[in-house]
Amino acid sequence: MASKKLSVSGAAVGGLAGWVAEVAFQEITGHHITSGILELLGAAAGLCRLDRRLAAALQDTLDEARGEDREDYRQLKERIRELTRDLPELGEILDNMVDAGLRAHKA
Amino acid sequence: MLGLSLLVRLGRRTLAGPLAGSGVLPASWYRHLALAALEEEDYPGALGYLRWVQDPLLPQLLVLRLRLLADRHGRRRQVLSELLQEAPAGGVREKGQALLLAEERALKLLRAYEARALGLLSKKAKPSGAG
Repeated sequence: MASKKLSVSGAAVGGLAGWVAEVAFQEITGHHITSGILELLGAAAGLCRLDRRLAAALQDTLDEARGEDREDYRQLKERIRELTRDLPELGEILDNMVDAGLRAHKA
Repeated sequence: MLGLSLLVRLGRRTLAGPLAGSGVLPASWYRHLALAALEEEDYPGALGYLRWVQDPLLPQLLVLRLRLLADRHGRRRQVLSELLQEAPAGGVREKGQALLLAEERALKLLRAYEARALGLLSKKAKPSGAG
């Protein structure tokens, strides 16, 4: 495998070229394109990480359900079961997450 | 230059508002928007986007979040009303009653959001050919 070399001068030239393009576009259209491109990149990154974000949202919800007094796993399971009685898919996922946490805690 | 500027602005407004609100964008885009709204605890915003999300998990997650929040407000309301029973009349009591009213308003709002989210879930649960 060929070794990768980093070029500082290449990076500087690339940066300068980008800046010149940005200024030229701004002069012609009166708009900053960098913020627009960053917005698009942010949205694309958000779309690519949907599953990870969903997992993070589930974990946040579990932490919220645990409460400030950090209920034990058995109480947490009971609370989740009670609150998700009519939400079967979510209840099952959170139940599995609590079980995984319990297993990790015991290991 | 002015024409191009107006065109770009119009395009952005159309994408951000009417186009996103019409449900014609891909479902994954609405999942992204709904997740972003949930991350910012913007519950009415999330409810708006969840109409276009096919996956039932996100509306269920919203319902659970709302229930947890309502539970917290309910406990706060209970503690406040217990304290108010013992509080002497005066400024402190009035402030406590104002807080109690705010908690009740918050609970009412959260229950209304929960009802809307459950409504979305029941719509998704119905087979498409049924109605």
